[in-house]
Amino acid sequence: MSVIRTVNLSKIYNPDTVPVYALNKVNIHFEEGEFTCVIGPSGSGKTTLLNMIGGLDKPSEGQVYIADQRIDQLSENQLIDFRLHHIGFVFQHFNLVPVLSAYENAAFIMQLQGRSKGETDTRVRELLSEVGLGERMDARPTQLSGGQQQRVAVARALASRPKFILADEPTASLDSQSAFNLLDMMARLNEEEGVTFIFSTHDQRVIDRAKRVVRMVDGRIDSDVRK
Amino acid sequence: MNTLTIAWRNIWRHKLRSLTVMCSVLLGISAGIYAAALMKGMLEGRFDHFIENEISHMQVHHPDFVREPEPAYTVATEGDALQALQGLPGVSAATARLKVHGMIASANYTGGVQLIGILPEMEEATTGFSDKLMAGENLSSDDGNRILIGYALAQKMKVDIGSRIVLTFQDVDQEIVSAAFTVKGFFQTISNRYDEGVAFVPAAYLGSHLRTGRAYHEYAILAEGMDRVEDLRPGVEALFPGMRVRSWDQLSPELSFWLEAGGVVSYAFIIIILLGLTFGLLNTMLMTVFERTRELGMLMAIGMNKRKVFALIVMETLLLAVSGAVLGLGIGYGLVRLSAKNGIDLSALSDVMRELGFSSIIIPDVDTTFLLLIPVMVVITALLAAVYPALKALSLNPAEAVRE
Repeated sequence: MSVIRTVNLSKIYNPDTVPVYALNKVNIHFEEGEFTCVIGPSGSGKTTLLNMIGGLDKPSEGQVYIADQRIDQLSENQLIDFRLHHIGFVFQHFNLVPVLSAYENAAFIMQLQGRSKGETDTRVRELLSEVGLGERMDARPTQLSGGQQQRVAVARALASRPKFILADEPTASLDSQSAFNLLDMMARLNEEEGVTFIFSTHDQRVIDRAKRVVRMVDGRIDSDVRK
Repeated sequence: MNTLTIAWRNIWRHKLRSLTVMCSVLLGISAGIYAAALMKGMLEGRFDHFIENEISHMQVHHPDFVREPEPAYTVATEGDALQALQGLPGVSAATARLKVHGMIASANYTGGVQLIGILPEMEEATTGFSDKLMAGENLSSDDGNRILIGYALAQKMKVDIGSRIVLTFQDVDQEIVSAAFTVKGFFQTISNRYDEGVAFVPAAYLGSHLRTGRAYHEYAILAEGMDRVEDLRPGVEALFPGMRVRSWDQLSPELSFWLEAGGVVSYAFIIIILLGLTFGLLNTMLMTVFERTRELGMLMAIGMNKRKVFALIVMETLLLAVSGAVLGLGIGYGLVRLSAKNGIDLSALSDVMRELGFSSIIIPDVDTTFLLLIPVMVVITALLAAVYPALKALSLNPAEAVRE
């Protein structure tokens, strides 16, 4: 079943002067439980594609469907709400709130969703244990290593029970061992719990672990290989 | 984890910066309160002096005396008006006076003066005049040609206690009368101008020269409190039919104006201080938003709606301002109370203060309403300062901000 589907998706900059196609009529769908990485040189459109399907940016043309709901026509406030309930994000620069502990960071998104204290507590403890941070729940981001911070970010993304997780170059700021551990953990979540992951990356280690590799060039899909 | 807790933790991310902002709010508010209290103390000192020494709360005159103070325009009364006045509910004390303008002369000086004929015991009860006596003795009802003059006038005239001076004035028939008086004492009030322009003699003695009989030019009434002044009016008007009855604010509209202006200036002080603080807060919060672009972008990306982002920035600004303001209020009020215990002694500047008509002991005082309004004004200031940074935060594009 398609979780994400795009139809002739285009993002055009300077449409009235010298049009630049960041995305050019991209038609792609992502299935539930996939572990996909989107690769390509800088400027190929992989981040733009992730921004479109993550509801962070609006296309110039075409449509984006998430679980059959068209999101490109939603207002900004509706998109914020949609992201909160349906999409998990992991960013390159960890992006945790520095004044919150690991537990509070992971719980934050559930509080935004208005989940009960009890439900949040159970889920967050479970997730942090799952990402190997059961003993570091009270630590602030500055007290955690880069790899640990990224694990908290994954726990936070999972906490909202999203339809899929978008990870923009999640290993780019990590050392080899931390990157390996993080990938291991995400692969396990995908295998065991069927969490759908979509990465943009330049990192060969991520590409090697992916089940599907989508290569982009000049705003188009150059190849789409399932392993 | 509510917005308030996150906002509170956020403001302590840069301790030095936040403390600097809080201290500037604290200093601004406490200085504003103290300056306002000082001004109120000075104005109230002047007000009290006017009421207690010059005009009392209410006065009665012949209507023509108000326009042209001729000796013939005395207050018409039936029976003992003073006794009747003192019997009115709400009257603390009352006295009667004769008033005439004339020339005062010594061997070294001649100048204009207002000669006031007083009933010493009643004057004492109404204006507590003996408190102002700085040398010599107070007048008594048995005194004949004795006179009290201001110390400032005595210095000009180069006269001492026991010196003889000559006063020249017109009687009720506009005949020129001259009389010699012996200086019995010097008084000193907070106003040099008053001290140089007024002299006191026994009313009975002055009346015999003016030929006013048992009539007076002025009745002065001291109420039991400011709030009782207007209640007295019907009773007083009934006692003096056809005469002009005026309360202190009608007698001295400028005094009333200064009191009101003092209040306005106090608010203006605080508003100017807060305006300055607004820019400090705005600058700090703008810096915060720029520094936290990536974090704010991330919050919006993961689903924090604009209302909550706006509230977070506003809350942080409010916490910064209100924390400083609460401490500033406490310190400012504490300093006012401490100074009010013994008053601020500006004796070293007493000549200047007297020249300006202010007491050299200032008792700072602050209105409760003023104190209660300060937090409201601080909150408004903080809200104003928060709007631009908060809008700046909302204008961030999450997709770009997370990559900053």
